[in-house]
Amino acid sequence: MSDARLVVALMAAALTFDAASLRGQTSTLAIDSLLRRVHTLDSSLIVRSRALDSVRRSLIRAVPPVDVRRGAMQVRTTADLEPRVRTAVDSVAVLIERRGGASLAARVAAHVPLVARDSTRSIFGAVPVLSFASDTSGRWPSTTHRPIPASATSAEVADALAGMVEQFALQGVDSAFGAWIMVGRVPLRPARPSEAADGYIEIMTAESAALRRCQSGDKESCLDVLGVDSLPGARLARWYAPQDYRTLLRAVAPAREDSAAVAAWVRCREDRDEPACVVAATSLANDRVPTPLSATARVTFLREVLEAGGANAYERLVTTDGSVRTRLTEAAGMPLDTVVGRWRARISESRPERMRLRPGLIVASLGWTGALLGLALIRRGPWA
Amino acid sequence: MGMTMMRWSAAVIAGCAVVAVALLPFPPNAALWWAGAAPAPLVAEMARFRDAAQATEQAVRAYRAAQGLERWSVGRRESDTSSIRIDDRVPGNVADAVRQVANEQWTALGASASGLNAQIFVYVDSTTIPRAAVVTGLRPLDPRRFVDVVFALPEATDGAHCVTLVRLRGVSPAHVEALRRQSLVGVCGFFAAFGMPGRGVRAWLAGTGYRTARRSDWHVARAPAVDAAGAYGLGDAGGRCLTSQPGACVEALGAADAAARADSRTLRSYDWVIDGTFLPTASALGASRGALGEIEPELLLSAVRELGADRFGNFWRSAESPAAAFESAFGTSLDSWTHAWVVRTYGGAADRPTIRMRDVVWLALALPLLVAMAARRRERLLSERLLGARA
Repeated sequence: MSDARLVVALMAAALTFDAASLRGQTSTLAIDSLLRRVHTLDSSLIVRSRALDSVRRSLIRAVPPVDVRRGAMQVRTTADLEPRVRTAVDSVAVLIERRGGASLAARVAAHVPLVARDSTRSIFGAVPVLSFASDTSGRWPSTTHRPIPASATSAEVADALAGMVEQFALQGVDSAFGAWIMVGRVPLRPARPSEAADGYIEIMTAESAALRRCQSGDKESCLDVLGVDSLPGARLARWYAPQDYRTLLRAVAPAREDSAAVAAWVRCREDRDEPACVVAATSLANDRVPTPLSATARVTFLREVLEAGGANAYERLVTTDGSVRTRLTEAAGMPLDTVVGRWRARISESRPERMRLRPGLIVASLGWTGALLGLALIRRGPWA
Repeated sequence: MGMTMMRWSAAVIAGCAVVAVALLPFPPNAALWWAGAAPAPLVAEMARFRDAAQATEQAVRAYRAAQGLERWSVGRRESDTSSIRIDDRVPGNVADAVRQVANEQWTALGASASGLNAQIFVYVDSTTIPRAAVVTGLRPLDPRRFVDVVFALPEATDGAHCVTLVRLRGVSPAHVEALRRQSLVGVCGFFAAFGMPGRGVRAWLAGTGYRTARRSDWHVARAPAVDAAGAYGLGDAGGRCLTSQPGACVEALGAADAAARADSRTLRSYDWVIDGTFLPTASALGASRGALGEIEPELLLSAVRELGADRFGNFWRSAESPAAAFESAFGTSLDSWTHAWVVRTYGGAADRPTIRMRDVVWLALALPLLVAMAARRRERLLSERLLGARA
């Protein structure tokens, strides 16, 4: 090929060259390179994940040598804690058998909780405690429990273990029901007197029109505020009357983008301006209007359902498909209206008594008064 | 040896000193949570795991950004000045709905918004990145979402366009609905309304990760922070800005050393892609959370709203430093305006407690009286008033 022909060929090639295509190829190569980097880093992440599991298992499995087992319940602990833990496991196993049945036993059997001595820092040094972990296999425990004092009795250890069992009881149940109960556990233990009294105070003092209707016997409103049923209409209209708005607006605020509503919200809170409260409350998006009752009330209601349903109530609760209402009705074995009546009656019975002046307090007060007065009278030394 | 006032005081002071020596200083690493501290080997392994997870997450974002940029550049004409471009592979009915959503947000930027320097690009990509190994319980590498919206600054595109890359992960009504809840203009809204920033402002914004310009919905009136605790989210420099220390607000905005921060030579194109959903370590541009708390992304949109779009345009396009450009555009200093804005938003700082003169007077009168009473012989007083009656 002559030089002239070569120049022409090169010019023709330059004219027909697709620069965009080359750019595209370069870009594709860069993207492929980035994808390879993702895979490399992901491999490294998986290795790190396994190493983390390994470290955790090596740290945890070495601690508790004693295996305490009764029924579905198996707990690892140390030799010095064994007597207390064994008694506690016995009582929890009875609770599982009586309240949970085979479904709960299967859930509990999937875990090996751990009870061990530990210490926690306090302002005056370390405090000895008993720590609880719900699992010895996974990277993170599926449930958590606060440590209790190291001097705890077997009943207190049993209470802590039962708390874990209540959390296991909700595992594998569909997410809609889990979202309804909110606290992540099924109440299998009887209510403590303080819990019942707290429930009474909350229900009697919460400022909500729907709750007032519930208290006066409207069972549909009860189921509405408990989140079991939804009555027609927006939440604000269903649950709150204008006289409740100021209290409501202590818990929730309009979006910042709605400047007029925020200005009204400020006037409502600071100046007790009722029309402003109405403006601010009605500006709230429906999903931002909070439920009048806390999760505690739902727990008390679920406890009532389980008690109404008897021995197999838990079994029916977790094996029934369908809405929250369907599950609760099946578990209770009776119409929910009836359960609501029982729940309201139980709440009424839980009214806390007035604080009584204990005789010990009177004696201590008089004793200290007398002691200080006596010291003042018998003092002989000068102050200066 | 009788107990005198001096001895009693000395004993109390000595006791307090012993307690202080025994307890102070309090341990610096006091547990903040009731759960016990993890053992050292576990802490070290967790740190390595966290680093690996963050590196992987950043790599995934870089990969997705590069993919989006490639989709945008393919099939784009040089003369394209459209404000909204929908990829050809988006089905017609979905494209119409998406265009409507994008149009609403674009129109809200004002009449001056154009496609000369900004564009919204929507495409469909439902691919997933397979994990390197099949392990039970591993989550997908891409976070679960219906739609991903990121903002590619001009440095990542063609040097002249800020492009909102909208990745629809599907074409169902739920995907379109998710789009309605996203800002599709973000930082690109400023490029659409005011063009390319001047050299000084651009250096400042690049050096601070564009964190003061991440929102551009200036058509919406904003109320002060409704959470009284919001001021606690201010950084050190933000706190000094709130308490009106001179120059603190400019320092908090990172405008004092903008030129020094603006070294972008080490950044790759996908580092200039801002993902608004990742706050802590959003991009290589810099930490997206600054000293002015959660409202910082609203600073420049507040300036547009309060000071006027025309004058803001002069500031935006200025080649001067941010402080000088602000002063020449608005006639007020960046420091004082930012201070006023922070005070309006969070509320002013409370006055320091002071010593009141009336308290000093009362104490001056009362203390000698108390000392005199304490110095009297208690024995005589008691015997005269109480025990004397028996005698």
